Amino acid sequence: MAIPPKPSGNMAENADADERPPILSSWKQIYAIVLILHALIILMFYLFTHAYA
Amino acid sequence: MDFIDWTVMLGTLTAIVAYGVWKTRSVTSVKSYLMGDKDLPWWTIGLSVMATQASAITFLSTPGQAYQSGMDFAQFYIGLPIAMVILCIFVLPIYYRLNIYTAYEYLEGRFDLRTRTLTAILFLIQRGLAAGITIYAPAIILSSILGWPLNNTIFFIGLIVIFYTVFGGTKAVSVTQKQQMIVILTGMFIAAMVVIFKLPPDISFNDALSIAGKSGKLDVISFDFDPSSRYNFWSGILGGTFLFLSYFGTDQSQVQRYLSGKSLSESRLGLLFNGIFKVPMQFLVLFVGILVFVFFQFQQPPIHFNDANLQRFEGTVYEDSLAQLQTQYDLLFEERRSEMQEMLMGIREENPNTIETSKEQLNVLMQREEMLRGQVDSLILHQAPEAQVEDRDYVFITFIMNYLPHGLIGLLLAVIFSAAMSSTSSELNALATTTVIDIYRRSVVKNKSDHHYLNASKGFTLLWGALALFFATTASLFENLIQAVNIIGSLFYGPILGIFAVAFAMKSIGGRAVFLAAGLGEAVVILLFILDKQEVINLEYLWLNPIGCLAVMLFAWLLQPLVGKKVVA
Repeated sequence: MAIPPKPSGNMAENADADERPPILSSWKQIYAIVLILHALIILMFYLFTHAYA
Repeated sequence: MDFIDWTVMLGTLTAIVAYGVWKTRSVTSVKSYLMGDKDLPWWTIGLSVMATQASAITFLSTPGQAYQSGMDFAQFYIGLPIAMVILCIFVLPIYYRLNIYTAYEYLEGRFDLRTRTLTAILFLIQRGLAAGITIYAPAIILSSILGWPLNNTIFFIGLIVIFYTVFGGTKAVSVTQKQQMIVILTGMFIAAMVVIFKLPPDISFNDALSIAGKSGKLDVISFDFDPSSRYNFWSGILGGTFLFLSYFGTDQSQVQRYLSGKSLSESRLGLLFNGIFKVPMQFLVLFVGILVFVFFQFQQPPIHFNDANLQRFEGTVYEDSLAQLQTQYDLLFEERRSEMQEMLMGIREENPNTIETSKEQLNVLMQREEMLRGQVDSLILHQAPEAQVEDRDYVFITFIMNYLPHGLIGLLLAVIFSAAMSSTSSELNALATTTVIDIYRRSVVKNKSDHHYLNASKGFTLLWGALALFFATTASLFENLIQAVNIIGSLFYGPILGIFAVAFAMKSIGGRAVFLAAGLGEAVVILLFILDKQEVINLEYLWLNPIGCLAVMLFAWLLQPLVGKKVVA
């Protein structure tokens, strides 16, 4: 089996450039949506907790 | 269980396995067997990742946890979406660019062969033992409730999993997991609906939530920074992110799921799918437990949820003592039910005085109930000192067996068996892949044909399956085996994470330094473990994870100037 090559330092950036997300124009926007959705879920948990406490 | 339940359960499980076998009938190469032709779309990856993490214990134990302690366990998962985003940005592109089969292959490119081999062996020991427990833990609960012999239940789960995992490899694991997750989510959603419809006619959904809330069961989130509380926002966001980075980034049973994606984009979307839906799914599972709690405020629950423990008393001198406790428990329940109705009236009339008085009264009644249940536990231990009296894991399955209509009992049992099979299949698949790719093909039998390695992969899957069955069937012979496996896992998990943390974050560290650091880090972990056992220090074994990780990072940093050559990042 071939020994895998050593990764280069800017590999993540290169891979990012290779692959565009299927929706929206960049992965940054998709990550932002995931984190915003998560923040909304946490907010809903907070409101749920206080509504029935 | 009647004929309909058997038909639904066996029909569901057979359909899933048959679909998996049919979809993977053309697997003829190692790449296809271990990487699934790298053609999986994001939704299959996402469901597969979720199914790998969700074992049968998740669906047996989590509703029971909510029943007993409320919904704060949801905070354990708060760090997960953040970990998914970090992995998508920094780790997935590296794994994809290197076109690797296992996470440990990356370590050879980054450091050297011995670091890769060491890490792979640590994973094999830890995950090999865990695979047996993944079968044993739900089997002991299901055999007790269904009245099946324990070994039959173990073999029922184990042999089906081994069959389709050996047959179709990683693709069989992923496609069956997709079906299993659909069954699991559908089953849990239907269970939630049924509990709501089973509540007394005068109790609305909003009443049910109010009762749960006033009973302190709906505290989903707490922003209080309290190191002594196990679950709060801060432990979830800090500890959880750290834990899920290590689990999803370095554990081959997860890495293999997303490496079989069609492209980097599909794998990223699969992990992000998990990041978005995992927390709501755990909320649903916990919420089912809350609804069961409300249900048992109006329908008398058993004095002890593991019926097999109560059956031990039949024809013994303790039978009368149990009957007396049961009579007291019946009276107490009636008192509690009427007090609960009082509190409900207070809630509807928005009368804080009535609510507060009823809450205080209910607390007293619940304490008396806990005392009675404790007395039953003591009786059980008198009768059978080896018995497990913790009955939290039996709450949900008791509800399923006693209160769900026929047909749905079969479906919910299919949910639990599906969960057991989905996590076990991932483990067997990852164990075989690591054995073949990181040990057998790399260091033992090199340069053989693709057909040879395909057969070796199938053989190692079978071998690990047999070992898992052996561990599962002998687990009951060893006291506290589950805890022992968890401790063994904690002895290795920290140093493994430390090696990967150095690989990703400390670019100037070379192979020799990290290999020595891993050995020293492992020694520190084992030393601390022994000191704790000798009662020289007091350290819970879960702390060994971060200590092991940080020790490897620290030692690697200190050793690099002494033993290592400068690595060009």
